[in-house]
Amino acid sequence: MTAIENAMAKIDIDPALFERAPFDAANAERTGYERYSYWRSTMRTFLKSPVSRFLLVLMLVLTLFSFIYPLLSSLDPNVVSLDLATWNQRPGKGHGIFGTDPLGRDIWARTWYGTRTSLTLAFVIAFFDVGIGMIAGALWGYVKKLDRIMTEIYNVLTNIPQTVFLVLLAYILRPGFWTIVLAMCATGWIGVARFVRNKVITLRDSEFNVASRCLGTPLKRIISMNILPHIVSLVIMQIALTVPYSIGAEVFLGFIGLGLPVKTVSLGNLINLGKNNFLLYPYQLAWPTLVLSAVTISFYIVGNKFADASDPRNHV
Amino acid sequence: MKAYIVKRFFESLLTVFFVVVAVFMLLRFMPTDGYFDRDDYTEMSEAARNAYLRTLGLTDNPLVQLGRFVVNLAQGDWGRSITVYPRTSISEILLEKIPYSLSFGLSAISISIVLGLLMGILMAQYKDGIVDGVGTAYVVLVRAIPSLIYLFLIQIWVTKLLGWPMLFNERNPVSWILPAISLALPNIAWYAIWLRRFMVDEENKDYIKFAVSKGVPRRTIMFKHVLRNAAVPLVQYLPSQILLTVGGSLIIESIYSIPGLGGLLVYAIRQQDNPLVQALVLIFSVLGIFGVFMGDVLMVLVDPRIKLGKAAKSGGHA
Amino acid sequence: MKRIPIGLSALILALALLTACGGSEAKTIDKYSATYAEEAKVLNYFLIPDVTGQRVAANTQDQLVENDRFGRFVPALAESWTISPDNLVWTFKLRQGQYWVDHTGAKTQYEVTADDFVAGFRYVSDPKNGIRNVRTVRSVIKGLYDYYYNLIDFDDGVLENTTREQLLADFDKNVGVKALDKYTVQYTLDQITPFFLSYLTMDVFFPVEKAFIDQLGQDFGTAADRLLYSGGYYLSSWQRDKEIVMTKNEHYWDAENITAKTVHLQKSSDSAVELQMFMRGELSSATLTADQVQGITGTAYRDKVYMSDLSSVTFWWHPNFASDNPEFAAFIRNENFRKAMFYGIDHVKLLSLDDPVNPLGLMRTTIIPEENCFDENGKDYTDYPGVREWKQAGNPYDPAKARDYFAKALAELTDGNGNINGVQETIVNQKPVVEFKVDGKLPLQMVYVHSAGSRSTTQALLFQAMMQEMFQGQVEVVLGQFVDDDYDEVILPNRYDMMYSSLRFSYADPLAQFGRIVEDDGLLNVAVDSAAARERQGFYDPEIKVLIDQAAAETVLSKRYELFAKAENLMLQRAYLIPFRAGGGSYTIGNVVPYTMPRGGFGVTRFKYKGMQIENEPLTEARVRQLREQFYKDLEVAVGAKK
Repeated sequence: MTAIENAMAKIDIDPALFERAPFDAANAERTGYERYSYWRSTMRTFLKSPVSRFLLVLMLVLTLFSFIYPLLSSLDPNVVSLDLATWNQRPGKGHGIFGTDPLGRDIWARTWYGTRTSLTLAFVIAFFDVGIGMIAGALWGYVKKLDRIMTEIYNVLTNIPQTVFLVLLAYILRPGFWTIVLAMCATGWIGVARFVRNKVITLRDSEFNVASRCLGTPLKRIISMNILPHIVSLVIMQIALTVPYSIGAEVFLGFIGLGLPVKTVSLGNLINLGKNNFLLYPYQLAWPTLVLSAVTISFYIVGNKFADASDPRNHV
Repeated sequence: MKAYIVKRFFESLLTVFFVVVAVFMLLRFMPTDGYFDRDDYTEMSEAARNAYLRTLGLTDNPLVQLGRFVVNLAQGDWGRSITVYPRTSISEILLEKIPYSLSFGLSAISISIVLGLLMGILMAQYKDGIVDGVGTAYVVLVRAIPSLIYLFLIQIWVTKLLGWPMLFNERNPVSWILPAISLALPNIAWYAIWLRRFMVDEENKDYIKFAVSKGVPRRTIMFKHVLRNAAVPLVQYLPSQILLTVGGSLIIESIYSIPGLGGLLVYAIRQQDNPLVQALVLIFSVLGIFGVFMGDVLMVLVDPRIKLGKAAKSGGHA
Repeated sequence: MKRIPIGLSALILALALLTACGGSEAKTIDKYSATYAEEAKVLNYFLIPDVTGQRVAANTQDQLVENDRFGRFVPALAESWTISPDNLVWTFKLRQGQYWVDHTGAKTQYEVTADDFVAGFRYVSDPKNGIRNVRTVRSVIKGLYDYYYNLIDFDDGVLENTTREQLLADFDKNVGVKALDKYTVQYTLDQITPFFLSYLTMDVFFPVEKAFIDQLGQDFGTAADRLLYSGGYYLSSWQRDKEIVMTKNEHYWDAENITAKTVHLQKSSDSAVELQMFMRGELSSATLTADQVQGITGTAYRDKVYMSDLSSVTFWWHPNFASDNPEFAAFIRNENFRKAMFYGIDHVKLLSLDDPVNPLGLMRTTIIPEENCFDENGKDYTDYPGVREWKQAGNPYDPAKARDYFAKALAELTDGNGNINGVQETIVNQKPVVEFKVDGKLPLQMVYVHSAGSRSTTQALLFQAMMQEMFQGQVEVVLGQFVDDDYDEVILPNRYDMMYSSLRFSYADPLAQFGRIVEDDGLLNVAVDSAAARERQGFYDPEIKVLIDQAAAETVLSKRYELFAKAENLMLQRAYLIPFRAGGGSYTIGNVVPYTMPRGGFGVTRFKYKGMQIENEPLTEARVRQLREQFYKDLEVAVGAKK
């Protein structure tokens, strides 16, 4: 306050023209938050586009369905038929909406079970990436001493090609669900950490936070209203973008024989099996691919659109 | 400027050192049967196996081994492969395979820069138009769908449509085209989307608005200002991209049967060929680090806005 | 090094020719093109671990004898040979004036002499060189066993008071391989071996030019210019993981029978691609999966697909008697359980994965293949009593019998309440293949390990479902997977209960297989590392061992076979392993006329392209059938084989 008075004194303005305004929580609220809600704005910007709306619905439907379907359906995706006539049946012919694979297993059921596995994998990876990344990133941003070490770790992890990591870890630990999680998270967290770190630094020193601090807004409030929204939007975006990325990685690892065990029903395994029979039974690749693409594309676009919408500069 | 380059160079060396140690120690955890020919292993007694490991120096202190390994590397001795290409010298294998990966990688980079930038410019130019829509759709498809699927379909369908050979054949120039383009696809998307965003962002900047209000033609603004500025981050990214082409692409080299370096690491790991794994991981890591270093140096050289003293402090380089 | 400019100029080409259009290479009838899935890892022909390498070795190197198109042994680099009256010394006279050629096809200064055969054998006999197949002949060639193990002992530090040089010098003194003069090489054997010629087509009997291999050392065979060639072809280009080009050797003694002037092999690991390439005229022949055959039904290609002949390899299901899974270990020692498995595997369904039309055409129910071993009267070994019955009985699948035997096994092995006698709850740790808990109760848990490939995964899943159904849920197959190599990852570390595999049939005698299935002390050991099996108290059958030893000592083939047949009969009766299908027998389409090339179940000559006829169009299935009938007629005349 004295700084202001000093300044005014310097530019020769009569201080009598001003009166001191005491802090009034209710008033501060009104000016700052009455009309602008970060979340409402984000959602409004996001939902403005019909494409976003459609894909958001698609994404939710696919996710929900893949998690609900196994609970409702009695079709076992793993049951091998001993009746040769039911092998490699084309879609619609008596058995299965998507047809059957070379052992008479139902591709419709396998596709949804596979989607569930792959989504679970993706969510677990996203959970660890974001969880570890946020903690590490916050520390990185706040604790100056860590900067040197973290930068070095960042350099090491990002400079080595991702494939090298994936393959090396997948080999040392042997194929499996948690191996893929570990291999993906081993390098994934650092990207999130860096993002968070930059966010933290800019937020910490950003004008609106300085202003809030000046206005005496309690720290709890600064965190929940000023900082958290930015981070939460980052979390949502990160989870959405991890899905296409980790599904892609799983398909790739399956291709080089280091993916999930073949008896696990996953999109990667379905794609790699279907690929072998593609010229003959294209539907064995086509259906899982279609569902896979719908999943990855909807997550990818929703993630990106959400990232755009969560940027306050894009708010109206 | 010299001080900065020297500083960055030593920083990179430090990173290389960490990577070398990490990789080397990681490989100590791998099973030792990777050092035997399969049959040797069966035939040998436990004592003989240990004696053999001793002659290879594998029972020494890992740090001593590391030292020896570095000294050998410095003398150009990479060792010999054990199971992947029994008894063949590793440096020879690399010299044979790298040119393929490099040729394809460089072709792909050239293609992706030309097509990607062109696409990016068009998309920015006709923002929200049909071109932009198609371009965005392409970017989304390429980035969201696992590459294995579309690369495989391209191989099957495009070769059939055009009557081209399905496998790469050095003597048939046509067979170079499809793998090179396939390799470029993800990067085209990368360049296009990046340039589009850059140009759209840049158009809102004051200096462009000023230029527009001065009446400078749009084309001139684009080429003289926006694209020139776009070159800076591009230059920073390019060296590591070029260097890493040495590693090749696993999927493309595998489906087109290109004898490059792409699948070698995976095979080496699967066949427990420890010396080969070690060599490859080190090469890729060192190239990666060196690429970033060169990128940083180049950026300093290219971008007049970067003040040399301060650039060193900014530390980060994403 | 020399490839860098090629690579770079090709880059320029690639860029420059982006718009150029493609022209396929001109098709000529004297060029053979095919693909291979497995890379030739190294071309040191003593070391080759894979079929592709054997193919190259067989065509670029010649041996003393080879097989003709009827499988008879005919002179190759040897012009003639004699056998001593005691049948132990075989003396070969070499063809004169044969020179080694280099990778450009030019004659070198080196002549192929008797010394080269001795040098080759000296090389394989030194354990330091790590030549695996020397094992097969270790007890055949006189003095080799001691020579080899002295060196091993010396390297292990067991043998002292001598030097390696001294031991190596013993070769000339003690090992029965000698050059009598420039063109005469002589082999002295440990025991009478009527089928010795079939050994000579193995890779350990290749010649080598000593000056050349000494000069290259470890680099021998790591590039086309690091080999010398004595065969019908020289290797004109070898690009790892890409292609192999062999060109006719004009200096070859039998050059007139090298009909395909160029052999071009390309690497491709995808069978779908192979068929496509064939249809586009890029290959001379291709093999198809059963699914692919169905896929081309209705096209012009369908009537050109034929089933290739069966090979001497027998695939079987074999148990691990030394398993550390206590449940399985208890069961597999029970004969009734083994029989239940023997009769419970449905050959038709499993073989339908390969040939849905005529699955039983691929079946083999004997351990030793038919049409490979003939006695002095031309009678086939598999027609001897004891084996004949198994061959004629056909598909052993019999669910009623299987369930019957299984019930008996359960009565003997469990307490009637589902508890397996003497088996405690424990964790079976066969990581990284599998890890699981056994509870000492039914269902019996049994580990079956397969490769990650789709074909073998399919088979594993089917086998699992089949066992489940056959034994009404009392046998639970735990599936494990190896990543790359069954031997290193599964068999050697003993991480399996049941395996589906085969052994290469190395020479024309049942001993080739039986000697490996039953160890010296009667230990049954189909594939395990014997030391490990012994440590884990494997399973012994001394009775069979006695029969095999008696047979092995017998030099009259008919008597020998009689004894071997008895041994095989016992092995099958006691269900020690379950023969399942013959190797070969794959759907084939191609322009290559079958039965024009060397034939034989052993060694490498069957991979020779000598005499190959290639036509302009794919042969029809009817034509191949006709050729096959004619061939077997001719064969009977030529060999005197009786059916």
